[in-house]
Amino acid sequence: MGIILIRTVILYLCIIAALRLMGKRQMGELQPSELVVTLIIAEVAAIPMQSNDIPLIYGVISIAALVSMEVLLSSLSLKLPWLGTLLSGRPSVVVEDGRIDQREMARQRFTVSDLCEELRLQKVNRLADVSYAVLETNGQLSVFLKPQATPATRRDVGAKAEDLGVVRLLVSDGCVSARVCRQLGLTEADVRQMVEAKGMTVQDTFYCTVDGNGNILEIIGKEHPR
Amino acid sequence: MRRWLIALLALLLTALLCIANERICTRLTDRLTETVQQARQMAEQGDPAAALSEIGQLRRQLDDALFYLSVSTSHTEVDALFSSAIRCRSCLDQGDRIQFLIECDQLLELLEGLAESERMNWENIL
Repeated sequence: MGIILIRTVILYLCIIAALRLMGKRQMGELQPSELVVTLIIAEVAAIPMQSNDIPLIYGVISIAALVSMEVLLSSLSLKLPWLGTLLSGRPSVVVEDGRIDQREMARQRFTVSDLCEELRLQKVNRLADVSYAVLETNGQLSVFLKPQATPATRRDVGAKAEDLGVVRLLVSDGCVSARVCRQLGLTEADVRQMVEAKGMTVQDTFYCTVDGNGNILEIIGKEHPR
Repeated sequence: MRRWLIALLALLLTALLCIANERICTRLTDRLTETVQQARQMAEQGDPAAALSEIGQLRRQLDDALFYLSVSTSHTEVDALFSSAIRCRSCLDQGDRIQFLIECDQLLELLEGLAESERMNWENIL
Protein backbone atom coordinates (compact mmCIF):
# COMPACT_ATOMS: atom_id res chain seq x y z
CA MET A 1 0.00 0.00 0.00
CA GLY A 2 2.87 2.35 0.82
CA ILE A 3 4.26 1.68 -2.64
CA ILE A 4 0.96 2.76 -4.23
CA LEU A 5 0.99 5.94 -2.14
CA ILE A 6 4.53 6.85 -3.23
CA ARG A 7 3.81 5.99 -6.87
CA THR A 8 0.64 8.09 -6.77
CA VAL A 9 2.53 11.07 -5.30
CA ILE A 10 5.23 10.78 -7.99
CA LEU A 11 2.64 10.55 -10.78
CA TYR A 12 0.67 13.44 -9.25
CA LEU A 13 3.80 15.61 -9.36
CA CYS A 14 4.42 14.53 -12.96
CA ILE A 15 0.85 15.44 -13.98
CA ILE A 16 1.03 18.84 -12.26
CA ALA A 17 4.34 19.54 -14.04
CA ALA A 18 2.75 18.40 -17.31
CA LEU A 19 -0.32 20.62 -16.90
CA ARG A 20 1.88 23.59 -15.94
CA LEU A 21 3.94 22.99 -19.07
CA MET A 22 0.78 22.90 -21.18
CA GLY A 23 -0.18 26.33 -19.86
CA LYS A 24 -3.18 28.18 -18.49
CA ARG A 25 -5.45 27.58 -21.48
CA GLN A 26 -5.45 23.90 -20.60
CA MET A 27 -7.37 24.54 -17.38
CA GLY A 28 -10.19 26.41 -19.07
CA GLU A 29 -11.15 26.11 -22.68
CA LEU A 30 -9.89 22.95 -24.30
CA GLN A 31 -9.11 22.59 -27.97
CA PRO A 32 -9.80 19.12 -29.41
CA SER A 33 -6.13 18.05 -29.26
CA GLU A 34 -5.80 19.35 -25.69
CA LEU A 35 -8.92 17.50 -24.62
CA VAL A 36 -7.54 14.27 -26.07
CA VAL A 37 -4.18 14.75 -24.33
CA THR A 38 -5.83 15.54 -20.98
CA LEU A 39 -8.04 12.46 -21.18
CA ILE A 40 -5.15 10.19 -22.20
CA ILE A 41 -2.91 11.55 -19.43
CA ALA A 42 -5.57 10.70 -16.86
CA GLU A 43 -5.82 7.18 -18.25
CA VAL A 44 -2.06 6.65 -18.64
CA ALA A 45 -1.37 7.84 -15.10
CA ALA A 46 -4.08 5.64 -13.58
CA ILE A 47 -2.59 2.35 -14.86
CA PRO A 48 0.80 2.39 -13.06
CA MET A 49 -0.91 4.06 -10.08
CA GLN A 50 -3.18 1.05 -9.57
CA SER A 51 -0.86 -1.75 -10.58
CA ASN A 52 2.47 -2.32 -8.84
CA ASP A 53 3.39 -4.75 -11.61
CA ILE A 54 3.85 -1.98 -14.16
CA PRO A 55 7.04 0.10 -13.86
CA LEU A 56 6.37 3.74 -12.99
CA ILE A 57 8.58 4.86 -15.86
CA TYR A 58 5.98 3.57 -18.36
CA GLY A 59 3.53 6.20 -17.12
CA VAL A 60 6.15 8.95 -16.84
CA ILE A 61 7.46 8.38 -20.39
CA SER A 62 3.94 8.39 -21.84
CA ILE A 63 3.01 11.61 -20.03
CA ALA A 64 6.28 13.31 -21.05
CA ALA A 65 5.82 12.30 -24.69
CA LEU A 66 2.14 13.37 -24.79
CA VAL A 67 2.75 16.76 -23.20
CA SER A 68 5.88 17.45 -25.24
CA MET A 69 4.07 16.67 -28.48
CA GLU A 70 1.11 18.81 -27.47
CA VAL A 71 3.30 21.80 -26.53
CA LEU A 72 5.49 21.42 -29.64
CA LEU A 73 2.51 21.13 -31.99
CA SER A 74 0.67 24.06 -30.41
CA SER A 75 3.88 26.16 -30.58
CA LEU A 76 4.35 25.14 -34.21
CA SER A 77 0.75 26.01 -35.04
CA LEU A 78 1.50 29.61 -34.00
CA LYS A 79 3.99 29.76 -36.88
CA LEU A 80 2.08 27.50 -39.27
CA PRO A 81 -1.61 28.50 -39.34
CA TRP A 82 -2.56 25.48 -41.48
CA LEU A 83 -1.31 23.21 -38.70
CA GLY A 84 -3.50 25.04 -36.19
CA THR A 85 -6.49 24.58 -38.49
CA LEU A 86 -5.62 20.91 -38.93
CA LEU A 87 -5.37 20.36 -35.16
CA SER A 88 -8.22 22.53 -33.92
CA GLY A 89 -10.46 23.16 -36.95
CA ARG A 90 -12.02 26.50 -37.91
CA PRO A 91 -14.67 28.57 -36.12
CA SER A 92 -18.08 28.38 -37.83
CA VAL A 93 -20.69 31.09 -38.12
CA VAL A 94 -24.01 29.46 -37.26
CA VAL A 95 -26.18 32.58 -36.95
CA GLU A 96 -25.82 35.61 -39.17
CA ASP A 97 -28.04 38.68 -38.94
CA GLY A 98 -30.59 36.76 -36.87
CA ARG A 99 -30.80 33.89 -39.38
CA ILE A 100 -29.67 30.36 -38.59
CA ASP A 101 -27.29 28.79 -41.09
CA GLN A 102 -28.93 25.38 -41.06
CA ARG A 103 -26.39 23.76 -43.37
CA GLU A 104 -23.49 24.84 -41.13
CA MET A 105 -25.40 23.69 -38.05
CA ALA A 106 -25.88 20.26 -39.64
CA ARG A 107 -22.23 20.14 -40.69
CA GLN A 108 -21.14 20.84 -37.09
CA ARG A 109 -23.85 18.49 -35.69
CA PHE A 110 -25.00 21.44 -33.58
CA THR A 111 -28.70 21.06 -32.81
CA VAL A 112 -31.30 23.79 -32.40
CA SER A 113 -31.65 22.87 -28.73
CA ASP A 114 -27.85 23.28 -28.33
CA LEU A 115 -28.15 26.71 -29.91
CA CYS A 116 -31.10 27.68 -27.69
CA GLU A 117 -29.20 26.48 -24.61
CA GLU A 118 -26.13 28.56 -25.50
CA LEU A 119 -28.29 31.61 -26.22
CA ARG A 120 -30.08 31.21 -22.87
CA LEU A 121 -26.72 30.92 -21.11
CA GLN A 122 -25.76 34.24 -22.66
CA LYS A 123 -29.12 35.77 -21.65
CA VAL A 124 -30.30 36.21 -25.24
CA ASN A 125 -34.07 35.79 -25.74
CA ARG A 126 -34.61 36.65 -29.36
CA LEU A 127 -32.67 35.19 -32.24
CA ALA A 128 -33.49 38.35 -34.18
CA ASP A 129 -31.26 40.29 -31.71
CA VAL A 130 -28.20 38.27 -32.70
CA SER A 131 -25.87 39.97 -35.16
CA TYR A 132 -23.84 36.80 -35.53
CA ALA A 133 -22.95 33.73 -33.47
CA VAL A 134 -19.73 31.81 -33.94
CA LEU A 135 -19.19 28.23 -32.87
CA GLU A 136 -15.58 28.35 -31.66
CA THR A 137 -13.08 25.52 -32.07
CA ASN A 138 -13.34 24.71 -28.36
CA GLY A 139 -17.11 24.15 -28.72
CA GLN A 140 -18.21 27.42 -27.13
CA LEU A 141 -20.64 29.73 -28.87
CA SER A 142 -19.66 33.41 -29.10
CA VAL A 143 -22.75 35.57 -29.52
CA PHE A 144 -22.60 39.16 -30.78
CA LEU A 145 -25.77 41.19 -30.45
CA LYS A 146 -27.03 43.82 -32.85
CA PRO A 147 -26.22 47.37 -31.68
CA GLN A 148 -29.89 48.06 -30.84
CA ALA A 149 -29.96 45.01 -28.53
CA THR A 150 -26.76 45.73 -26.59
CA PRO A 151 -26.88 47.62 -23.26
CA ALA A 152 -25.71 51.23 -23.34
CA THR A 153 -22.14 51.81 -22.20
CA ARG A 154 -20.69 54.83 -20.32
CA ARG A 155 -19.32 56.00 -23.66
CA ASP A 156 -22.83 55.86 -25.18
CA VAL A 157 -24.27 58.05 -22.41
CA GLY A 158 -21.19 60.28 -22.19
CA ALA A 159 -20.51 59.48 -18.50
CA LYS A 160 -16.96 59.81 -17.16
CA ALA A 161 -15.30 56.74 -15.74
CA GLU A 162 -12.24 56.57 -13.54
CA ASP A 163 -9.65 54.09 -14.77
CA LEU A 164 -8.20 52.31 -11.75
CA GLY A 165 -5.53 50.50 -13.74
CA VAL A 166 -4.51 47.04 -12.59
CA VAL A 167 -5.87 46.38 -9.09
CA ARG A 168 -3.42 44.29 -7.07
CA LEU A 169 -3.59 42.49 -3.74
CA LEU A 170 -0.94 44.23 -1.60
CA VAL A 171 -1.58 42.67 1.83
CA SER A 172 -3.10 39.27 2.34
CA ASP A 173 -3.75 37.98 5.86
CA GLY A 174 -1.03 40.19 7.39
CA CYS A 175 1.58 39.40 4.70
CA VAL A 176 2.85 42.09 2.32
CA SER A 177 3.25 40.85 -1.26
CA ALA A 178 6.90 41.38 -2.20
CA ARG A 179 6.01 40.91 -5.87
CA VAL A 180 3.39 43.71 -5.84
CA CYS A 181 5.81 46.00 -3.90
CA ARG A 182 8.43 45.37 -6.60
CA GLN A 183 5.91 46.08 -9.38
CA LEU A 184 4.85 49.38 -7.78
CA GLY A 185 8.32 50.41 -6.59
CA LEU A 186 7.29 50.36 -2.93
CA THR A 187 9.23 49.22 0.13
CA GLU A 188 7.70 47.36 3.07
CA ALA A 189 8.13 50.52 5.15
CA ASP A 190 6.07 52.45 2.56
CA VAL A 191 3.31 49.83 2.79
CA ARG A 192 3.36 49.97 6.60
CA GLN A 193 3.05 53.76 6.43
CA MET A 194 0.16 53.58 3.89
CA VAL A 195 -1.73 51.05 6.02
CA GLU A 196 -1.13 53.02 9.24
CA ALA A 197 -2.50 56.13 7.50
CA LYS A 198 -5.78 54.16 7.22
CA GLY A 199 -5.69 53.53 10.98
CA MET A 200 -4.55 49.90 10.81
CA THR A 201 -1.39 47.83 11.05
CA VAL A 202 -0.06 45.39 8.45
CA GLN A 203 -0.26 42.47 10.93
CA ASP A 204 -3.98 43.12 11.52
CA THR A 205 -4.84 43.63 7.84
CA PHE A 206 -6.74 40.75 6.24
CA TYR A 207 -7.20 42.16 2.75
CA CYS A 208 -5.77 45.28 1.11
CA THR A 209 -5.81 46.15 -2.57
CA VAL A 210 -4.09 48.99 -4.42
CA ASP A 211 -4.92 50.59 -7.76
CA GLY A 212 -2.55 51.09 -10.66
CA ASN A 213 -1.16 54.28 -9.09
CA GLY A 214 -0.28 52.52 -5.84
CA ASN A 215 -3.13 54.04 -3.80
CA ILE A 216 -5.01 51.88 -1.33
CA LEU A 217 -8.37 50.98 -2.83
CA GLU A 218 -9.89 48.75 -0.18
CA ILE A 219 -8.65 47.61 3.21
CA ILE A 220 -10.29 45.09 5.55
CA GLY A 221 -8.99 44.20 9.00
CA LYS A 222 -8.86 40.75 10.57
CA GLU A 223 -11.93 39.77 12.57
CA HIS A 224 -9.73 38.47 15.39
CA PRO A 225 -6.59 40.68 15.41
CA ARG A 226 -3.55 39.37 17.24
CA MET B 1 12.92 29.27 -20.60
CA ARG B 2 10.51 29.03 -23.51
CA ARG B 3 7.83 26.40 -23.10
CA TRP B 4 8.45 24.77 -26.48
CA LEU B 5 12.15 24.45 -25.69
CA ILE B 6 11.37 22.59 -22.45
CA ALA B 7 8.97 20.36 -24.40
CA LEU B 8 11.59 19.70 -27.08
CA LEU B 9 14.21 18.88 -24.44
CA ALA B 10 11.77 16.58 -22.63
CA LEU B 11 10.96 14.78 -25.87
CA LEU B 12 14.64 14.40 -26.78
CA LEU B 13 15.46 13.20 -23.28
CA THR B 14 12.64 10.65 -23.44
CA ALA B 15 13.84 9.44 -26.85
CA LEU B 16 17.44 9.14 -25.56
CA LEU B 17 16.20 7.25 -22.52
CA CYS B 18 14.34 4.80 -24.75
CA ILE B 19 17.36 4.27 -27.02
CA ALA B 20 19.66 3.79 -24.02
CA ASN B 21 17.15 1.38 -22.48
CA GLU B 22 17.06 -0.73 -25.63
CA ARG B 23 20.87 -0.95 -25.70
CA ILE B 24 21.18 -1.74 -22.00
CA CYS B 25 18.46 -4.38 -22.28
CA THR B 26 20.08 -6.01 -25.32
CA ARG B 27 23.49 -6.04 -23.63
CA LEU B 28 22.07 -7.46 -20.43
CA THR B 29 20.00 -10.18 -22.10
CA ASP B 30 22.97 -11.12 -24.33
CA ARG B 31 25.14 -11.53 -21.23
CA LEU B 32 22.51 -13.56 -19.38
CA THR B 33 21.80 -15.69 -22.47
CA GLU B 34 25.51 -16.45 -22.86
CA THR B 35 25.73 -17.59 -19.24
CA VAL B 36 22.64 -19.82 -19.54
CA GLN B 37 23.94 -21.31 -22.81
CA GLN B 38 27.28 -22.07 -21.19
CA ALA B 39 25.53 -23.73 -18.22
CA ARG B 40 23.44 -25.75 -20.67
CA GLN B 41 26.56 -26.76 -22.64
CA MET B 42 28.34 -27.84 -19.44
CA ALA B 43 25.38 -29.97 -18.42
CA GLU B 44 25.25 -31.57 -21.87
CA GLN B 45 28.95 -32.38 -21.63
CA GLY B 46 28.31 -34.07 -18.28
CA ASP B 47 29.90 -31.43 -16.03
CA PRO B 48 27.22 -30.51 -13.46
CA ALA B 49 29.71 -28.69 -11.19
CA ALA B 50 30.67 -26.28 -13.96
CA ALA B 51 26.97 -25.87 -14.85
CA LEU B 52 26.20 -25.09 -11.20
CA SER B 53 28.97 -22.50 -11.17
CA GLU B 54 27.49 -20.88 -14.31
CA ILE B 55 24.00 -20.82 -12.76
CA GLY B 56 25.52 -19.17 -9.64
CA GLN B 57 27.08 -16.61 -11.96
CA LEU B 58 23.66 -16.11 -13.61
CA ARG B 59 22.03 -15.48 -10.24
CA ARG B 60 24.68 -12.83 -9.40
CA GLN B 61 24.12 -11.18 -12.79
CA LEU B 62 20.38 -11.11 -12.18
CA ASP B 63 20.85 -9.65 -8.68
CA ASP B 64 23.09 -6.90 -10.11
CA ALA B 65 20.50 -6.07 -12.78
CA LEU B 66 17.52 -6.20 -10.41
CA PHE B 67 17.15 -2.41 -10.08
CA TYR B 68 17.33 -1.85 -13.82
CA LEU B 69 14.92 -4.71 -14.52
CA SER B 70 12.41 -3.46 -11.91
CA VAL B 71 12.49 0.05 -13.36
CA SER B 72 12.22 -0.94 -17.00
CA THR B 73 10.38 -4.27 -17.15
CA SER B 74 7.04 -5.61 -16.00
CA HIS B 75 7.55 -6.99 -12.51
CA THR B 76 5.83 -10.25 -13.51
CA GLU B 77 8.53 -10.84 -16.13
CA VAL B 78 11.27 -10.11 -13.57
CA ASP B 79 9.70 -12.59 -11.15
CA ALA B 80 9.49 -15.19 -13.92
CA LEU B 81 13.21 -14.76 -14.69
CA PHE B 82 14.23 -15.19 -11.05
CA SER B 83 11.90 -18.20 -10.57
CA SER B 84 13.30 -19.85 -13.68
CA ALA B 85 16.89 -19.33 -12.45
CA ILE B 86 15.96 -20.86 -9.10
CA ARG B 87 14.35 -23.89 -10.79
CA CYS B 88 17.52 -24.40 -12.88
CA ARG B 89 19.59 -24.49 -9.74
CA SER B 90 17.20 -26.91 -8.02
CA CYS B 91 17.38 -29.31 -10.99
CA LEU B 92 21.18 -29.28 -10.81
CA ASP B 93 21.10 -29.82 -7.04
CA GLN B 94 18.84 -32.85 -7.55
CA GLY B 95 20.98 -34.13 -10.44
CA ASP B 96 18.04 -33.99 -12.88
CA ARG B 97 19.93 -33.21 -16.09
CA ILE B 98 16.96 -33.56 -18.49
CA GLN B 99 14.76 -31.23 -16.43
CA PHE B 100 17.69 -28.80 -16.15
CA LEU B 101 17.99 -28.63 -19.93
CA ILE B 102 14.23 -28.01 -20.21
CA GLU B 103 14.41 -25.24 -17.59
CA CYS B 104 17.42 -23.71 -19.41
CA ASP B 105 15.41 -23.64 -22.64
CA GLN B 106 12.54 -21.92 -20.86
CA LEU B 107 14.92 -19.38 -19.33
CA LEU B 108 16.47 -18.71 -22.75
CA GLU B 109 12.98 -18.20 -24.15
CA LEU B 110 12.17 -15.70 -21.38
CA LEU B 111 15.40 -13.80 -22.06
CA GLU B 112 14.72 -13.76 -25.79
CA GLY B 113 11.20 -12.47 -25.11
CA LEU B 114 12.57 -9.72 -22.84
CA ALA B 115 15.11 -8.57 -25.44
CA GLU B 116 12.52 -8.77 -28.20
CA SER B 117 9.95 -6.71 -26.27
CA GLU B 118 12.37 -3.76 -26.00
CA ARG B 119 13.56 -3.90 -29.61
CA MET B 120 12.39 -0.90 -31.65
CA ASN B 121 11.06 -2.57 -34.76
CA TRP B 122 7.81 -2.41 -36.73
CA GLU B 123 6.61 -5.75 -35.41
CA ASN B 124 6.66 -4.37 -31.87
CA ILE B 125 5.34 -0.93 -32.83
CA LEU B 126 2.40 -2.34 -34.74
